Amino acid sequence: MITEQQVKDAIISAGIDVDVSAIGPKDNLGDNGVDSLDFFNLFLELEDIGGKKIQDDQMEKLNTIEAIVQFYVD
Amino acid sequence: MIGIKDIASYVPEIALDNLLRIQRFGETEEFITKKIGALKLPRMSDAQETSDMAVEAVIRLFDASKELSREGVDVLVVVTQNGDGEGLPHTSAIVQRKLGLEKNVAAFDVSLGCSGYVYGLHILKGFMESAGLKNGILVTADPYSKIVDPEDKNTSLLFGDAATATWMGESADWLIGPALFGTDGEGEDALKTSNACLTMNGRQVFEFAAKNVAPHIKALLKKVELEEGDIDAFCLHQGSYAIVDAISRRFKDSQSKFIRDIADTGNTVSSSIPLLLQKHVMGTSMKKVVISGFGVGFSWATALLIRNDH
Repeated sequence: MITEQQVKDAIISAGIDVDVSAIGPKDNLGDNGVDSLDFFNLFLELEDIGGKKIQDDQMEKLNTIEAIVQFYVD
Repeated sequence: MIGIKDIASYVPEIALDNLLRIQRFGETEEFITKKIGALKLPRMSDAQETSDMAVEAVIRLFDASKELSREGVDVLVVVTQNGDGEGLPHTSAIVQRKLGLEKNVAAFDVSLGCSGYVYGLHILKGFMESAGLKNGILVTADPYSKIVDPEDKNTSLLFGDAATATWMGESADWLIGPALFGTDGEGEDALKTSNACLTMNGRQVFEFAAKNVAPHIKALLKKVELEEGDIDAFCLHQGSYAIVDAISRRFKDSQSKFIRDIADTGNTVSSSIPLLLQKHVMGTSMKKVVISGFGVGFSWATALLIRNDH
């Protein structure tokens, strides 16, 4: 399980150049400046924190902080 | 001891302009400039073959190094996975003919991609030292324009054509130090050609590089008993700025020493490292440089280059 703050910390650790404080839990990350290569970096950080691999066919759905938190609850 | 004496390169003048192509793929200018890094993607002409790019690079090498003559070349190695014709004969044999090299020259191809230059240096060094050879030329020439689908967003914005030629011999300016190598055939489907067309799973390739290269560099530093602060530059295969940045972030105190330079060339496969060395290392006062190539296979290799104070 990971928290909303951990996801935001992961965005920063992944070197993604966005204002995480301005991104709400339901905001589309892609619409807030996270591009495809950023997602690759983010997923690597999340897998380290959450301990669960994100499969290729799961990537598209993980486009909000809320969806990512939920993924690591399931 | 055999080392690097000089490096020359050939980059075709014709090039695709990535900033004019982004709309087609729904990308932004920032994505190209900051994440991909390639503004121009050189393309060999329809009249050129891989061997012609190799020949251009070697001719430039002869022009730059007057002490190296055609008659003095003992061995020619071409690193390519997209050679002339349909694979037979090997491209280095064709280059031997086109350059008019002597018939007693050893010539063979090495089938590796982005790891190919690092492997190639060690292959040629070992070959020359074991056989008592004096002058060798290591060529990289792997034009992905032959296999990239222009409509494929994953690959169409990345790869540029180029060739390099490295003169290897004794009394060299740069010695080729210890190295580590790696292979993981689980990466077979991440980068492959099917029906002569390249397919790439960008995420798998990114993940492989992001997870493997930084630990590999750290393992090499441990092997040679050096710290990252002892290294003057890290010349990594330039897959994209995003991947170089992902790797360099693991070296917080040395991040600025990771060279990034593909604006005018794109990802030139095995030519990317020698292009960096030619432009940013040769002729400088640097003493220790780490090179690391990684990609198709998956295959990877990391080595230390040390200035020879001779």
